[in-house]
Amino acid sequence: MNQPQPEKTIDIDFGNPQPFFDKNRAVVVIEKKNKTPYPKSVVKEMLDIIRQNRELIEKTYESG
Amino acid sequence: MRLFVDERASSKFAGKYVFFDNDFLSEIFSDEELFKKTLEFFSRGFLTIDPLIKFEFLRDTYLPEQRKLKEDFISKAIFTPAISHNDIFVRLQSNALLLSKIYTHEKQPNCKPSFIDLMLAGRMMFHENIGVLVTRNKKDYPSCVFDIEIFLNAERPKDGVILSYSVLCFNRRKFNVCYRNLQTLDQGI
Repeated sequence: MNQPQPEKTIDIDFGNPQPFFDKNRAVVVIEKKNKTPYPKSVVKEMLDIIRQNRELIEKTYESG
Repeated sequence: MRLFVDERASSKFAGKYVFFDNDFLSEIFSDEELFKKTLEFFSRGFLTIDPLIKFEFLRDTYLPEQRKLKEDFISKAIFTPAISHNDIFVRLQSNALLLSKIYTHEKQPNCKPSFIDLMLAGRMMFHENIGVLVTRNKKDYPSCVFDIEIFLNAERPKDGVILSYSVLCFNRRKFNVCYRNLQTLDQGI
């Protein structure tokens, strides 16, 4: 009977001590180590979310 | 919202895990300027979200549109998730219970932390020397065990009120003193 194959993972040295990080997110950590400060595209998306939230609050609670 | 902080202190947080309490996370979720300045200030650290803070951030959101925005925001890759593994949870719970006993015996009258605050304190103890916590509720993290590294002050535009957030870290030396006091009490039973 075929043994189930483990899912492929990439071993990355996070340094010490970082045992609690999710390896699926490792690429972000590596990218952040190499680039300063954060991926611009992600920051832009988050700023857009904050703007939408602010507009939603203004429309819902502050218009009246 | 303008952030007032000594930018030279930014280097203190290089390589550190910067945990946000829900009050600060909610504040940066509502203000683009504060969000940008926070990213700049902690640019050499790792912004980290404890699973219980994620829970607190997402719970009790009335507007469906806002719920979706919160879920999108918290899932972005600049936040490094702390794994919610059972082995770690058990250790955090043990830390939290011990800290609650210490708070009581050290006579901290204003310190009445919630379960999540205690677990977060346990998380800071687990990541001593490498974890810091940004919170507005300093009273839930008493000085008998925690040190203030720096303050982040933000001016609220609508009324000019200054909101002060503490950046805290666990102090092992102070903890050991409190722990010895607790053990002495226990020996007297």
